[in-house]
Amino acid sequence: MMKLYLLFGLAGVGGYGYVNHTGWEYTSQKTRFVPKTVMGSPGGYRSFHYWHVGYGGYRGGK
Amino acid sequence: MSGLSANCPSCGGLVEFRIGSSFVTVCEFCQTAVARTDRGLEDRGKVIDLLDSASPLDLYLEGKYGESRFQIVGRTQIKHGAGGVWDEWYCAFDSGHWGWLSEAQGRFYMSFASEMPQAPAYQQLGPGVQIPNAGGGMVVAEIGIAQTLGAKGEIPYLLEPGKSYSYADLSGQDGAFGTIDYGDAPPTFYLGKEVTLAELGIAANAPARDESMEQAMAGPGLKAQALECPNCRGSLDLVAPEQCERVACPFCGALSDVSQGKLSVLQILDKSRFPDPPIPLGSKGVFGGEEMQVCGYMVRSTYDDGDAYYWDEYLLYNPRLGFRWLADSDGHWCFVEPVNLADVNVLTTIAKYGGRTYELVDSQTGDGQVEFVLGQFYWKVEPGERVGMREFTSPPHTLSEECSATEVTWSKSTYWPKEDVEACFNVKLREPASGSVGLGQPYPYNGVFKVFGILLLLAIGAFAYGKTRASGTEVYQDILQFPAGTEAGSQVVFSQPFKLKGGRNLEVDAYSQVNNAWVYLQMDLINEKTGAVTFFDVPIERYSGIDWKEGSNRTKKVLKSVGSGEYTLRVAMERKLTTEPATVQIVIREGIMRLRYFLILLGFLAIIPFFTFLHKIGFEKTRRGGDSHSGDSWEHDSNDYYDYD
Repeated sequence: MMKLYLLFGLAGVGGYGYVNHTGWEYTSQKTRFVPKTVMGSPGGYRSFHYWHVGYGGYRGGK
Repeated sequence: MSGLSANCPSCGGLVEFRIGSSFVTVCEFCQTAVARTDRGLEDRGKVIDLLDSASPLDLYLEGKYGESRFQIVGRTQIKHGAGGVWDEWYCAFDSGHWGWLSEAQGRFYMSFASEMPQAPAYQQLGPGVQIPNAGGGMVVAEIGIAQTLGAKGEIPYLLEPGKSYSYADLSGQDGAFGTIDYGDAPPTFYLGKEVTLAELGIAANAPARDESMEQAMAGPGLKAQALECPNCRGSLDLVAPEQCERVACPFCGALSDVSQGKLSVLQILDKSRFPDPPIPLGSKGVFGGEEMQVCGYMVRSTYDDGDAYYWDEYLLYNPRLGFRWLADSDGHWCFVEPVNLADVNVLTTIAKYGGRTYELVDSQTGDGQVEFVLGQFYWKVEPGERVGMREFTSPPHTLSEECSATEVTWSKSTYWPKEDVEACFNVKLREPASGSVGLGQPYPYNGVFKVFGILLLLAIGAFAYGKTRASGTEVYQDILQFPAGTEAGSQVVFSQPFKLKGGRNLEVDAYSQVNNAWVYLQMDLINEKTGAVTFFDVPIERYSGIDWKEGSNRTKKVLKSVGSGEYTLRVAMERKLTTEPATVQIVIREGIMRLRYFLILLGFLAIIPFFTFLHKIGFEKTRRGGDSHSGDSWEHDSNDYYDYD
C-alpha cells in the first residue's frame, strides 16, 4: 500500500509541479461571441456590463 | 601469615594458605573448612561436595578487573531460598584486597566489600524498596535466605559450613550490583557491577580444562546430561543440568524436583489440558547471532472477570548468555531479555528505559499464573505459581515487570514476526488470531506517514519554487489614459493587440492612483480572429483618513484559460470623479501559480494518511485491549486452544 501511495503521491506532486510551472487550467473562461461587423461599427459595440448593469451600476464601497 | 602450610586438624592432610589474607582453606582430602586463628588452626566443620557445574570458571584462573589483576583462589556454592544454587568465586587481587565474583544463570557480578552507613533492617526490605545510601541509590531486586553448601580453595572470611543467612540483592543504574549480607552484625555491604568474562579477560585466557569447559566456552555447544524420568523411565536430556531445579517430563508430564542430580516426582501434570508445544523442546534457533536451545515450555494465564487468558513461554538457554524467553500470545511472538531493575524509571503510567518511553497498558496489569510446564527450569516452578505483572509498551518493544513477595524483575521484549520465528526453528506456527494485535507489534502502516511527510516536503518545495520564481509570463502592459469627463458614464479605451498561448490562466493586474474614490473597469477580452469575448470587471477603490485606510490602488483578477490567438482588451471605466483625468496601469500575465491547486494537492495527499490514522487508532485500541487481556481466551475447551491448519 505504501508503494502505491508513494506512486500516486509522486504523480500528484508532479502534476502540481506541472500546473504550477505552466499555469495550466482545467477549465476555460466563459465566452460570448460578438460579430466583427458589430465590433467594427463605431458605437455599435457595448460591453456585456452595459446590457446587464448599465452605466452607473457601480457605486463604490462608500 | 602468607604461604602457610599445615596439617588438617581433622585428617592430618596437608592444607595450604597461599594467600596471606584468607581466613579459611578447605582440606582437599576430607572437605574440612580449616580456619587460621590467633590460637592456630581450627576445624570449622565439613563442607559438602561441590555440585558438578559447567561453569567456565575454575580455581587459579587469572583475570583483570579494570587495570587490577586477580586470581581466583576460592569458591563456595550457595543455596538459594527458592531452591537454586549459585557460585561465589573469591578473587585475590595483586593489591591484596578481595573481590567476590558471583555466578548465577550464566551472568557474572564482581563486587567488593564496601561501606554503607545505617544499613536498613532486613524486615524493612522488600522488592522494589529504594536504598538511597547504597552505592549512590539502589533498589532491592530480591530478598531471601541463602545457605552455604560446598566450598573449595581459600575463603576470605570465616566460613561456617551449612550456615543460613539473610541477604538482599540490590540493583543500581548502569549495571551496578550490590548485596547486603545479614549473616554478620552489622550487615556487610558488597558493591560492584555486572561483568562479562571478556571484560575480566578470562574468556580469552581460560585454559580448556575439560570437555564441558570447552563446550561451555564455545557457546552453542550445550552440555547435555541424560536423566531418566522416575515416573515413566523416559530419557530427559538436560541442557543446563547444573542450573536445573525442576523437570517436567515431556512424555508423561511428571514434574520432578532436582536435587544433586537426582529426580523425585512431585506431581503428575495433566498433559491433555494443553497440546504439545509447536516448537519442540530441544529445538535450536539463532537469536541475535547466538544459538539458543529450547529447554523449557510453560503455559501461563491471567484472569479477568472470570475469563482466563493464556499465553506460552519458551525458556531458551545458551551457556554464554544464560536464559532468555520466547513468548507467544495470540500468535504474536516476542523475544524476552532481562534488564537491570535500576535502569528502569517508572513514573506512574510510563516507564523509561534505554532512552525509550514505554506506556503502561492497563489491560495487561494483573497476576500471572503458571498453568502448565514441560522441560527443565532453573527455579522450582510449579503450576499455580503467581506473580504480579505490569506491562509497558513502546513498539516493537515491551517492558514487563514481574513481582513476587521476594523478588522483582524487569524484562524487555522485542516483537518477532511469526515468519521469523518459523524460519528460526524451522517449524510451522499458527497465524495470529484474527483481529488481534500483539502488545509490542509495530503498526504495519507507519510507513504511510513517512511517505506523507516526504510528499508534503516535495509539495511545499514545489509551492515555494512557484512563489519565488516570476509568476507567469507578462503578455501585455500599458498605461491607459482616461480624460476628464463632464458626464457620468463610461469612457472606453482599447488596448493594442497582444498574443496569448492559450490553455493557461490569466492574471489581470490593474493599478490606479485613486484616493477616497473609486474606478470601476469593465473589461472585455476580445479574440480578434474569432470574435469570442471574455468579459469581467475590475473595481479599484481606496479610502483613507488621518489614521485609517481601506481598499487598495491595485486589484488583481485571475481568469481561467482562454484560447490561443491575438486579443484586444476593451476597457470601459466608470468612476466617482469625472472632472479629473485618470490613468490605469494594466498588466496581463499568462500562466500564473494558484494557491487552490496547492490546497487540492494537500487534500489529495492527506486522504490515505487520514484513513490510515483512523485505522491506527483502532489498532492501538485493540493493542491496549480495552477491557480484555491479550492472549487466548480459553473456555475450558483445549481443542480451541490451538487451531493449526
